[in-house]
Amino acid sequence: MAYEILMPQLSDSMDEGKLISWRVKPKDVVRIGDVIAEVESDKAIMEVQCFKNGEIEALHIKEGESAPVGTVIASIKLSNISGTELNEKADEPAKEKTIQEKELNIHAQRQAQALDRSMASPKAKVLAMSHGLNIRSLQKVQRLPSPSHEKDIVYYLEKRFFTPRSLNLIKKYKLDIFDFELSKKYDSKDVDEYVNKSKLSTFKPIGSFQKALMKNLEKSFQKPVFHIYDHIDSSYFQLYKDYSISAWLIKVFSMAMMEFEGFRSSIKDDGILLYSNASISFAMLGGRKLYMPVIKDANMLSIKEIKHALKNIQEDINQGSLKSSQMQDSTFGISNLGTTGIEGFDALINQDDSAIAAIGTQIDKKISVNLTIDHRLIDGYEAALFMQRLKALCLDEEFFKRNIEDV
Amino acid sequence: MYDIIYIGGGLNYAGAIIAAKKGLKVALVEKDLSQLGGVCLHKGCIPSKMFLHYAQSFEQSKSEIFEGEINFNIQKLVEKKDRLINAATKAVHSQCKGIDLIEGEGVVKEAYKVSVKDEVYEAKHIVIGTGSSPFIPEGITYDAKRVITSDEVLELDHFPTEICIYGAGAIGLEMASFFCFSGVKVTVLLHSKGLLKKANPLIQKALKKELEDRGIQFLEDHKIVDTKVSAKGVAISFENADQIDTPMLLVASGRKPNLSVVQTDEIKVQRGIDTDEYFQSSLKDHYAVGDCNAKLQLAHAARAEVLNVTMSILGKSPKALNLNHVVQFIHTLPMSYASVGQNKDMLEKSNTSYKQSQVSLREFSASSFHNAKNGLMFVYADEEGFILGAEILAPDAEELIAPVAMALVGEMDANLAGSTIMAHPSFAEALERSYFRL
Repeated sequence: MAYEILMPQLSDSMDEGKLISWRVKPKDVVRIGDVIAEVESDKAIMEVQCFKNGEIEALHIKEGESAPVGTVIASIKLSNISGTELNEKADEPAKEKTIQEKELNIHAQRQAQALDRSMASPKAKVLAMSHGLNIRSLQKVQRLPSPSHEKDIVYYLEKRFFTPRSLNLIKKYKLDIFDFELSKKYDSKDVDEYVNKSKLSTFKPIGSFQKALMKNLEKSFQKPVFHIYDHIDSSYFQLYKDYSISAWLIKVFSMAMMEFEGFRSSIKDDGILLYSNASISFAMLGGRKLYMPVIKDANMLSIKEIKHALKNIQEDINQGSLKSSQMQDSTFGISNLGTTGIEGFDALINQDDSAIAAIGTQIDKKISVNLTIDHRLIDGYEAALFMQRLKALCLDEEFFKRNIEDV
Repeated sequence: MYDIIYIGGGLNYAGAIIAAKKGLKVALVEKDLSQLGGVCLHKGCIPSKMFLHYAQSFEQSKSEIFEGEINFNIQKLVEKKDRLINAATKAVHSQCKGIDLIEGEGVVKEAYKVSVKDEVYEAKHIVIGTGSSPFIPEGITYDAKRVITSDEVLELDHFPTEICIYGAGAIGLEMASFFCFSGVKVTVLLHSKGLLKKANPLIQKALKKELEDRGIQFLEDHKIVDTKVSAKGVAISFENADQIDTPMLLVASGRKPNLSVVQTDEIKVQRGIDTDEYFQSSLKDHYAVGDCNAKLQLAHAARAEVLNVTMSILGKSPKALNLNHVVQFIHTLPMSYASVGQNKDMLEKSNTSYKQSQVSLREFSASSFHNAKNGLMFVYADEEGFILGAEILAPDAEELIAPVAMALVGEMDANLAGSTIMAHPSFAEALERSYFRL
């Protein structure tokens, strides 16, 4: 597609202009804002700016010749060079460029004012011109307000060249619409492709779910905690593998919790809430989100009931129907990363729990158990006894047999 | 050497015409050239919608407002349909000037070669669009007289007193509507439970009630294990030990892709011919479009696919089609079901957080004389308000859903979509209200 550059009217009284010199020759690549010629009007010599990206196809008058205002003086073959490629080409020092641009803008504004008598700010006129928009005709069909300002032109260009969803992405990623060559309508897929292609870092705001999670983590981190590291024997977990290690862990921990009330306590307001039963928050995955649903009164449940409770909760998570009431009233947490092959790790205490156990993978019939404990509720000695009891339960075959028989 | 050989004369012809107009050397292989235009024109979309239209007019004429006896002459309808299709087929033939039409079954035995009877034709690109055929489940003896498919309905010379229809997919339910509105007693046999199981549950319920109120009987959990044809009719035996005698059984158990065209391991085949997002098979320059790639069994999808492929071959680098934006519908009577984008079932299964708005057509006075009081409209949007899809049960829902399809392609949010001012009175107003309620 060819674009024609006309002899501009540089002042009210100018009828014709003399072309003093060409700054470009045919086949030169030009971009918006480039000076392509110098023209002499009544009194002064002024620069003629280019408002399109492309390649000079032909120069229609020679240096020294005069032509009436409105005559075609040059034609440009419009290019499909995208905005980014053009930016890469811009290698002049930034400062110099801004000064130059400022000067050019003044010229362009004058040109725009002279040519277009629509109700619009000079800045709006320059922007409109550089994108081939006719402000007056757009105002006639109520696509632009009268008077139009720069922001109105930007708004028009946004609506004209971007679907609402792609515009939403551009704002989310903090991109600029002028990074895109405004010649076709872009959808969200195009914007995603642009981001991937240009290897930009993108900005994604934090969602409400994530915000709540971060707040909880910060709160947990402020608790005065200490750690206890030990191992439990996993032989019976393997022997009675009709039930998952997770189910057995919940059973074993809930029984130990019944003997140490610190693990059934929680700090609420100005007091300590002591629960008569052992309710455990258990880390589970839903997609890529981590949830801490609560197995309530786990000590009262048979191993079979625990298995069912876990299955039901997982279904709720998968269907997105897990309620907040299913994530409350625990005093102890378990995070089992055993299936990932991790040897051992530390966990952060969940919400108002008194402690959390971080469970590692099985190595030589041993599983590492790292307790993170809230020192305000449990002291070191009680924690050590709790761990001792836990280890003993894991070695007590009668305990496992009894639980299987209960079923 | 051809630039492109298209195998199958269904919607493939649309691509062939474009390619030929752009100056490429093009051949179209079709096993029966009298069937140019494919199942859509001869046995599917066009004649079935024509039959449904006249059945609906017949049913509407029974209103107490009209007096006197009206008879439905099926033979005249068949003749009218034949005339229409002959004219349309001629029109397709005349558009295909400039294309070498080759009659016979095309087979790809090796890359870039199409065998038709004893001849072998070479091409730089091969586009397979061989469509699909009715699937007849094991145990059912199809004889095209007493045990029929939708193909034979289009050639009926008289209505049976009653009919059993096996299957409740698009074809089954449309045929049930047709016979029911034509005054035939209809029993729909379902091999399991539930109707349109992927539709919004409220639409499932409303559609079933609508059809039952019209006198269609549904027998769930009736899987056919055997059929015996006699002079009197068909004796059907079910897995649950039930037995039924019927004068006519229409089998509508879905359609299976026609894959005998592929006789090389280089083109991978699973349920259909395997293709990528640009419909290229596992063999470069060999494409599969329409029913035979088992993506969507819809003529308009096939047309979009073959045009996309043709544009790729022409070097126009088209955008990949978003098949999720294709309108899907079942033209039941008096209201049809249409969906576009993501429906409730998909949103629930993919764990997407979404908002939905529900509008009942009962809210609009026009619903009373359009038999649309049980009509429903659901529009879904994401948390930010961008439209994700819609499901509609309404008269001609497939027309009504078009603005939602455009809102999807234009990636509109409910605010922008809802600022469209629809005509009054129309059911499009309900759509305006649906957007408003999101």
